[in-house]
Amino acid sequence: MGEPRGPHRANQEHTVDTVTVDGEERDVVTPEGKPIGPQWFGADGEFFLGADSRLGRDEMVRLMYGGRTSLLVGITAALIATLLAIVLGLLAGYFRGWVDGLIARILDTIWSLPVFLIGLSVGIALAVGGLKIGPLELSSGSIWNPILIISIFTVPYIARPIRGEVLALSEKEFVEAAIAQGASPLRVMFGEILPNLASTVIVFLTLMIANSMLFEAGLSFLGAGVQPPNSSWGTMITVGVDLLKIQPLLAILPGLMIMLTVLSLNIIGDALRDALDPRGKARMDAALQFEAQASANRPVGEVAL
Amino acid sequence: MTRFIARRLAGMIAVLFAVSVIVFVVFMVLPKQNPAQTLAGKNATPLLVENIEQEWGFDDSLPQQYLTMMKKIFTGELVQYEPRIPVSDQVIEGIPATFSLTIGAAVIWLFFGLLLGYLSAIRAGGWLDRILTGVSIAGISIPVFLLAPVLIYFFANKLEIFPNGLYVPFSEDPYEWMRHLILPWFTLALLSIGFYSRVLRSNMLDVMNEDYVRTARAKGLSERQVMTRHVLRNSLIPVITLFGLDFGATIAGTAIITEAIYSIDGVGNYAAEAVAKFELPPIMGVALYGAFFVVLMNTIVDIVYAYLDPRVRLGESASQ
Repeated sequence: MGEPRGPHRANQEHTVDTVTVDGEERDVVTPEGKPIGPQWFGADGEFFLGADSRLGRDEMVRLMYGGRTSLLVGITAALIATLLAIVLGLLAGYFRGWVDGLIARILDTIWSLPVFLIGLSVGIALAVGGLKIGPLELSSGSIWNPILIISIFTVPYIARPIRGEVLALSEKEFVEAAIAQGASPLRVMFGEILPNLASTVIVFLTLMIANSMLFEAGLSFLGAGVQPPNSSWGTMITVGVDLLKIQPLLAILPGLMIMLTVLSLNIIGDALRDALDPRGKARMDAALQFEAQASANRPVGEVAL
Repeated sequence: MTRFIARRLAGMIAVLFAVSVIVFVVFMVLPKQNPAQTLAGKNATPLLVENIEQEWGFDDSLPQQYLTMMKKIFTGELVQYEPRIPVSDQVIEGIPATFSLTIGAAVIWLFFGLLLGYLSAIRAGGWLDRILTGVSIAGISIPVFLLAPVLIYFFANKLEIFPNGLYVPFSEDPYEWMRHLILPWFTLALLSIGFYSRVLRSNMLDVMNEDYVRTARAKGLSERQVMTRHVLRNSLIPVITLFGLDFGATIAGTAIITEAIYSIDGVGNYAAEAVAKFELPPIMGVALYGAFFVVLMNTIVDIVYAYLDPRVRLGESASQ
């Protein structure tokens, strides 16, 4: 692809561009004679995907660093949400009664919130003021802010099916047998029921990571997620959208990365489900159905972005 | 039915209360910084901060502060401070653009989603079904923040068929209104088109195995009549419920991002701009007003669904 295309020519005409970076206008001087922008497979030999127009940094490297943040936030948030969900689901499904009533009510409430909108407002509140709960103190730019927000608001997505499965499992004979042998509730929950949840948890975990990454990208894109100096694929799109006319790939590449990662995670999730348990799909559908009957609320969905 | 509605309304009030408490706690209680400082914005003068402190009563007890906040929300006294404009006015100003975007997108996604779903269901297993399946899975996988830049780049910047975002009110020029909104509409609709066509397809395939469909065929109805009168009609109920919920979720989710990318002066863009400038009062206002709207919508959908499908309300009372 020798002949430089649209974006290159546009750049060669203007050697000085005004670019809005983090809310302030800056002049960006493009190096003389060397087009900034994608130079497929190094037409100029320097960078694999060209340079960004802010400081002429290697776009490929930026994508990898951004991806590191996106993956970190997505995976950590999903892990925290899953851990919380396992504990809540086990407590609710095993003890039933008022414990279940309370937990189910809380989960239902979070479930019926407009999660993205509330997440956005919480995100910006934390990004401005930081967070202080007792000993836990987070600065305003901390990467833990988006992680906490995402994990808390996505808990119901996995806790509800887990609760449904625990409800079903705790009626099984082996649980009765364990109780008859005098096992403590903790032992029954974590020793007997938890191992049987493994395949559900693993499958949902991959889907949760995908979901959390989309959530993070949405928050970061609007500026309420990952804060500078950290960057993620979401924040890279924000910068890229302003430059869409001259360098479309700056917005499109990080978006493509998000899409490919999320798509891969979803495919892995499906494959894991088939591999771990051939009857898994039927069982998970049953768990979801159990759940749906119990609350008759709304179909299990995800944070669709 | 009355009991069901009463329960749903009680649930709605609980959720709304939860929303307001979350917003209150996050904006007023958790920040390390003085909340008046965060509300005033980055470049606030000490005088302004002091005024805000008085106005919001940050010396009062927490429940008192909560009441002050709710009073401001309901009386429209919530203002952004630089410049001093009531948040409610801005939100009301943005509503036409937001609804133009979301309702238009909803019409498109319902039309194409149902059309594609119907076509792939009646040709299940054939080549058309396979192509449509591929298309809808691709549609589901593309996030708006990828789709929007791609569409803008090709259709607005390169081919110059459509304008590059912005919003023209319908009352000013209906044609320009539509031309400006076509890209945003499809950006918002594509994901749902894919999703709805999958849902309708699988619903229709389920319904096709029902006894009453065999009966309809046996009594000599044409294939077309069987499909439209019996199969399609019975497959639509879950889709309608889904639509009610998705519409609310879209307004409070993807629409914000879409408005921000296309610079459409709606409620979402107002919030997005406030986020970019770190201005808190507008976000508080949009979050609360938006949540009220969405939760109200969801409750109405639940009630309508229970009315359409008696199993829902019966199931509810049986599980209690």
